[in-house]
Amino acid sequence: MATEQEFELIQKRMEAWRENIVHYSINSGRFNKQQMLEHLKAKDEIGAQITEVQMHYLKTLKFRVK
Amino acid sequence: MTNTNLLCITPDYNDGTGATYIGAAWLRFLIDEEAKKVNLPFLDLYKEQATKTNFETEMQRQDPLLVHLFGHGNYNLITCQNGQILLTGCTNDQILAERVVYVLSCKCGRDLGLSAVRKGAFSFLGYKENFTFDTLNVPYPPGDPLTDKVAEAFFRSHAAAIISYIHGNSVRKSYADSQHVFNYWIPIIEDIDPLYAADLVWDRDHQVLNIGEIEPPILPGKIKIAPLLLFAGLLLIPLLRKRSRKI
Repeated sequence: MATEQEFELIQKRMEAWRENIVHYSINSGRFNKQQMLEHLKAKDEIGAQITEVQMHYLKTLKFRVK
Repeated sequence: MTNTNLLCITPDYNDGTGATYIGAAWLRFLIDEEAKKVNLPFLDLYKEQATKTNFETEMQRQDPLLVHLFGHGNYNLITCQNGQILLTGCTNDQILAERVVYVLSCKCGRDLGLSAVRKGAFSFLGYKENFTFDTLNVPYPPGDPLTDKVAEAFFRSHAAAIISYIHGNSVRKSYADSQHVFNYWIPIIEDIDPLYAADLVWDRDHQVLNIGEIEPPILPGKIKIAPLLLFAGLLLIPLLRKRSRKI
């Protein structure tokens, strides 16, 4: 489960992203940037999924730098 | 004994997201076209044809070695047209016994995949968590997903596995090839937006290959003509020498 800090980090990153993002999770549906931000603010299940995916990416970046 | 042919099930319906519309367009473009290129007999149960009854009938009739499943899923199940449950682990997954199975669906690489190989499937390549993807353009439908460069990265990376197998590689090599294609696309997509790349990395790292006790067979791929040409060339050398002496 994502921590408070992780939710906030991903929310801040997402605020900086392009407006026309469309994200699909085959199980959970289709989301635009605004909808993703709402889920992140609500810290609900979909917000947690988005956070998990983005945190996974950031961790792989750390390994790439090493 | 199964037949060396391919059975695909490709649902495409109004699921409220457009995910099956986009996925079906790309999978049919990539997999069906590749099967045609190598003359691999195949049947694609598409849209209204993508039902459980049709699938079970064709699995019996065609008895295919190679199966590609697409649809919404969960850890222990995969669905088909209109969200109908197609397969559930420990219930009807024995239908996959003695088959090489590739699946584009959320999560079912974990429990359903394990259950299927325990029931005798040669192999089961899928995803152990959600399969996520992104698009540059909206809305789908009615847009043409095949023009979407971001969606392309996700579906080409997935389809690379079964395409590699169709071309005569082993299941293990097909998995490695798919991982290589993910790695090829990740920096390209990163240049567009790291959000998209995060989803691609997620899919790559949650793609899983379950292999049963019996090593999966290899499809006879395209005949490799380079060794034949070399052999023919070696045979011709003495003949040409004799001829040049006569001249």
